[in-house]
Amino acid sequence: MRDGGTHGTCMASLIGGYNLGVTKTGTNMVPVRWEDGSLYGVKRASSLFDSLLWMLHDIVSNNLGGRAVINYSGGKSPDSLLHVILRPGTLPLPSHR
Amino acid sequence: MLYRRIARSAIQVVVPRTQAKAAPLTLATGIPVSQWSDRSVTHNPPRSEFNRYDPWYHFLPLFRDADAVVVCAVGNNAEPAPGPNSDDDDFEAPRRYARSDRHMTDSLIVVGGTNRHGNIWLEQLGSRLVGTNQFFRLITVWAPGAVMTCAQAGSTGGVKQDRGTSLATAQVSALVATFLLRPDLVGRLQTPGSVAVNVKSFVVEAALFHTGDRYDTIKVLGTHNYVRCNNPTPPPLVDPATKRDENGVVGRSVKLKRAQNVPVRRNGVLQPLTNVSLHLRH
Repeated sequence: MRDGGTHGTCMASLIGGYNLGVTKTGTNMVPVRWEDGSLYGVKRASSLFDSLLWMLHDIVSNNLGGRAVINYSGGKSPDSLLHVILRPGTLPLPSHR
Repeated sequence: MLYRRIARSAIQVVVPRTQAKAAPLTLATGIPVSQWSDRSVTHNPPRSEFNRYDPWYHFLPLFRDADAVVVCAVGNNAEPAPGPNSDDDDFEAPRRYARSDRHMTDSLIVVGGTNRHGNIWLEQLGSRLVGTNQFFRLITVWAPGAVMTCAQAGSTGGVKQDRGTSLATAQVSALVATFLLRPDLVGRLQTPGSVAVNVKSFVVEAALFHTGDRYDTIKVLGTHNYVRCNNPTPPPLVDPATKRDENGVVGRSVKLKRAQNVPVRRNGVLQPLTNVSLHLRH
């Protein structure tokens, strides 16, 4: 997977980078991307839903309870998500990752 | 309740099946037709309706129940500094759910940023200094967020300096991961069903300093033992050309290896995802 922007790589290096990271032993990182699901440049709630569901599934199915930390270095406005989901005539499309 | 219902049923159905193979998931949402045609509702939903359509609102309790800890940034919009009683936290997710009157106040960790001296991070905006952390009522813990050195995506193995509560959040997330790994904290943190709540309370306890009641009297809610909060000297830069592996980055992304035994859904739904894990150098 490639970082579509630059922010995720920066965060990953701070979490577990060899020189710059805080944690250095026994920790694995699982990057999860959701903004690829943007439609005409606007993020979709369904894409966020997909990613959150995947994370939850990953945690539950791999029995990671008590060992999982979800880092969210950002903030998205729900009204911008609504904008696409409920726009008349817009059909939400499956995301392409 | 829409997403909560979907998520619960999806977990019940998908998880057992995907133990063996990938399972397709069909998602059909029942949005009233009237809302599709009512532009005033479509584009300006009442505030009370936001939660219904925000996936974070429904998933955060599920993560908590699954004993996963969620750490999010408070944001740094650099708007004119709100006071500690600002209501501006109504529109951004997921941090807004950590407010004292909302459903994730006990387990969602929200991180604010300090400067490298451990004081509240202010920046010059015109002729005055403004706070860059937006919503003080939501902040659980502070960590360094200004002038941090991190990987430079887009250059091969390079580093850069960046700023923001995002960076502070990443450090606290890593810190929480180390807490969860420490054998001496198992008894304190690893209570099934309460891990996220325990971790949040422990993070606040472990912080060295506490905030005052007023945002301009914040000293630090710090993590000095673990991150470079008080170190005025950034770590030495590594030559990107010869030692790029030591930066943990290659090209535009961190070094990644596909995780083993991770279910992948096909036919356009949720697939290759992001099913990759970073194997760190130790």
